[in-house]
Parts: sequence; structure tokens; C-alpha cells
Amino acid sequence: MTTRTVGAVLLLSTAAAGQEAISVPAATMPSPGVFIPRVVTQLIGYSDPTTGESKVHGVQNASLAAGIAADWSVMLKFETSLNFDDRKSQHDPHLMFKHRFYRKDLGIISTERMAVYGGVEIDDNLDPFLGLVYTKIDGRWGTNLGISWETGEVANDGPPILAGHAGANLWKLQSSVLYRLFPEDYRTTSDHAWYATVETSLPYEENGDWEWTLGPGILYEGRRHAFEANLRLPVQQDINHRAETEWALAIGWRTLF
Amino acid sequence: MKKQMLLLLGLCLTASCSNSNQTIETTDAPMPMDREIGDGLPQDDPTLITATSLALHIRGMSCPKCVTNAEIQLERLPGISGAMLDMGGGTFRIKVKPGAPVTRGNLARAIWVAGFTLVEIEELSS
Repeated sequence: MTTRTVGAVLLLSTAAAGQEAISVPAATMPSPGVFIPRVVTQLIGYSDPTTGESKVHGVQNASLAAGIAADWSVMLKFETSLNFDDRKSQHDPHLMFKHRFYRKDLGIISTERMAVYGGVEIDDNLDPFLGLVYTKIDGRWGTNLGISWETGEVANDGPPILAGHAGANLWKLQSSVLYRLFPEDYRTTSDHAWYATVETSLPYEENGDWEWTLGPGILYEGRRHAFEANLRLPVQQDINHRAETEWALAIGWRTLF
Repeated sequence: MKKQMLLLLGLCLTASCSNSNQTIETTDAPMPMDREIGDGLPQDDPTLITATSLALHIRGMSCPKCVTNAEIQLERLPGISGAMLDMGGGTFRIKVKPGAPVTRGNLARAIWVAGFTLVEIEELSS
């Protein structure tokens, strides 16, 4: 990885100031007794490492987050491969806890929060993962910046496609910037908002593989429902142990009750 | 590395359980002293609310779903209804049933538990 690449990612990450984007975590959570089910479908275009052929892999994530106390939440997530490229498998479920250990509300629409999250992928070994995320919202702008570590796993339905599926542990630096397109200013009757998003991610696997991805997105958030979509494209990659991502499209929905 | 991460995770979960025992369903519980609340109203204020219509001035509520989170926590208090937020002004308007055992501290705690900070309670009618 070049110094220039790392510098560019860090600059983008720190310059950015959010709500929660589709792939990048945020220091936000449901309050006690509130539930958020969420479904995210990802289509990933990749270059098959054995044939060099371009293929599309699909992944369906379904999760349920619940607030269990002030600043504490728990989430259960299931991931399934979709049968676009003759691969269909049910991945092991993830159990995750999140604790928001810092928050400072600076104004009506101005706040800073930090949270730590961690959990296990529930298989025979209970593979752990941990992460830290900072969120800042100021008026129409929001930023999320996170770093995480997770145990590597081995894909059991064919050549590895996703970061962390080639057996090596995975480090990730992620950032998202959200800008509220509508409404320009909240009014008494405001009950929904549209955001433009930009997400960037730098996954580094302990086998030396890394890539830097960047992509635009859109988020609609109502009082109970939210819809989101994001396109992710690689800017730079050095991948030798799994398929190279060519593009990724994520579409999601979540609700609150 | 994996064992160290599991150990760290175990410590987090232990802390989670002990914390949740203290705070879940206890909107009267005092706020832990190590929390940063800015200029939020005290959560241990026992002063009973006598007005039947209030405006709650709130900080940090930045999105439509935040509003629903706060609305749910407020309406769980006995005698509170009709929570409506003016997002532009950061002001929740609520109705309080006469004689309801709601204190200023209860309101501050409910907003805190929802994830935000209550900075002022304005009595609109008594």
C-alpha cells in the first residue's frame, strides 16, 4: 500500500463529519425496548480467481437490533449467499453488542458520539470481532469514522470473494459522509429526510490483501422506515488470496418499532 | 490474538449485563457520574410536573427516526401523551394527565435514555 493511498483515505475519513450509512457503522442505536429489523441485499461483481471470468455474487443480510439499556444495544445478524453464481449457503449468525460510551449534544442538530461494538460469529469456534466508531452530526452534515477487527473465516461454498473469507483476520478502516438534501431546514411538519452519502472502506487482511473502495449512495429516512442504496467501486487493490471486487451494489430497508 | 479478543469481548459483555441491570426500565435511576451531558437538566430532580401541557427543549435530535425513539420513551411515562416534535426548533410538545406522578427528573431521564439531552422544560398551561 502506498503512503499516498493511506494519506488519501485518512484525509477523506477525518475531513468528513451522520446518520447511519448502509455499510459503515455509526454510534447510533435503538433506545431500550425499541427494535430495528434491517434487510440489506448486496450484489458484488467480481473476477473469478480460477477462470478470470466476471461474475455476480449476491449476499442477503437480515438483522434485528434491540435497545437493552441506555447506550446499550444488541444485534443478531444472519447472512445468506444468493444463488446468482451457483453458490448458495447460509453463513453463521453474528451476535453483536454495542455500547455508546461518549455523547455530547452541542446544539439542536449538533452532536458527537462514540461507541464500541463487539461480538461473535456463532460457529464451532465463536469467532470474535470488535470495532470502534465515532459519529458527528452538525446541521445537514454527518460523518462516521470507524475501525474494526474480525476473525478471518474460510468460504465453504467456493473460492473466497468477500474480505475476510480467505482465512486471514481482517482489519477495516471505514468512513461515511452524509449530507441532508431535503429538507434544507427542518420545520414543525418535517417527518422525513433525504440524504446523499459517500462511503469509503479500507479492508486489510493479515495475508497482505487490501483494497480501497469508494462510492456514492442515497438514504431516505422517515419516522419509522428507512431505505438506502449504495454503489461501491474499488479505487486501488492488491488482492492475491481471493476474488477481486469489480463493483458492489447494496440496497437496504430498516424499520423501527 | 483471537483469545485476547474473546477475553476483551467477555469483559464488554460482563459490563453490558451489569449496566443493563442498573438502567433497564429505570427511568428514575440517577445518571452515572462519568457521563457527559452538556447542559442537560438533572435526572434526579424530584419536582412534580403540575402543568398539563409542556414544551421540552432538546439537543442532539438530528433525524426523523430519532424523534420516534424519544416519542416512545416519553409515552412510556405515566400520564404522558401526544408527544409531537418540532424538529426545526428541537421542541417536543407533550400533554400531561392532571395528577400524573411525573417529575422533571423523569422527563430528563426519558430523553437521556432515548439518546438525547433535555435542556429546558417550558410550562405551556397548568
